[in-house]
Amino acid sequence: MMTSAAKNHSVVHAWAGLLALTGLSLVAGHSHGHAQWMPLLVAALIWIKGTVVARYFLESKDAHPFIVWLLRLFIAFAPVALLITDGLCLYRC
Amino acid sequence: MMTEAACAPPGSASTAGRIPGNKGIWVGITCEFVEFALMFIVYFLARYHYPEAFRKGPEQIWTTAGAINTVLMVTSSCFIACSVGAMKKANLGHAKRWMVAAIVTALGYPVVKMLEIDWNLAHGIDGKTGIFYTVYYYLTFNHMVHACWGILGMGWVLARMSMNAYTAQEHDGLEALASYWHATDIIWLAIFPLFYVLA
Repeated sequence: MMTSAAKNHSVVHAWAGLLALTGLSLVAGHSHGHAQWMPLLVAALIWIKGTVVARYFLESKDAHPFIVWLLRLFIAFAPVALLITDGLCLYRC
Repeated sequence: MMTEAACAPPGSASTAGRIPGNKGIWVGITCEFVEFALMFIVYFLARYHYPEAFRKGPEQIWTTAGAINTVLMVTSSCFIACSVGAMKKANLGHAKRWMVAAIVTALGYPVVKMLEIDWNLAHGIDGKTGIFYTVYYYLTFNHMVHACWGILGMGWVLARMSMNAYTAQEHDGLEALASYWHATDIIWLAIFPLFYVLA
């Protein structure tokens, strides 16, 4: 069972991690904006950041199953759609 | 500022299967997610049909504004989580201070968004500049409207806190607002890289 102090640390660590991931995405976009692997990186970052907010700010692991699945589905929606769209674009070209 | 004691969410009670806030806010959040999922479908359809416009679009918009707004959204979300944590520990004073910090931080979002729109217009970018910018305005403006509702909600929750309406045991309104703001944060964290990072 997680203690209050540990939960406190996790909120602050989650915040710092989200800022670090945002910085990473900006650096990657600036230096490799047109690289073919960028959509994969961006999809991964969207999914990780959404999951961090859900888990550490919303405490979704304690939530009702409907809420857990709603968050999982929405957080995965944009990354999956991005990978499908860019995959189709590559196939078409 | 971010003291550990005030930040700590509550402790040890078993809460599996609970509804953060109330059922009503989760109906609203579900509708919000469906609304933005439809808007994302518009984005990806446009991206598929006009790849060149979406390849060049992010180079023209003000990336710094998007980055600042991401920091503001994430930080205000963190402050609200701290406010909920303090309330659950019956520390009303800390809960209020975290909520004030969240409101001040969140208010930066529409301010930066207005500056961004000014910057765009000064650089000849409006909704008719091209398909990328039409979708960009459509999604980001809608998100700002949702964020403004959240900020109004924060003001209401702060007023209720000032009237001692919440306790460590009963603070559904605060948790409902926190859930809505975190959901709005999750949406922004998807919007930001799609428009400001991905070329």
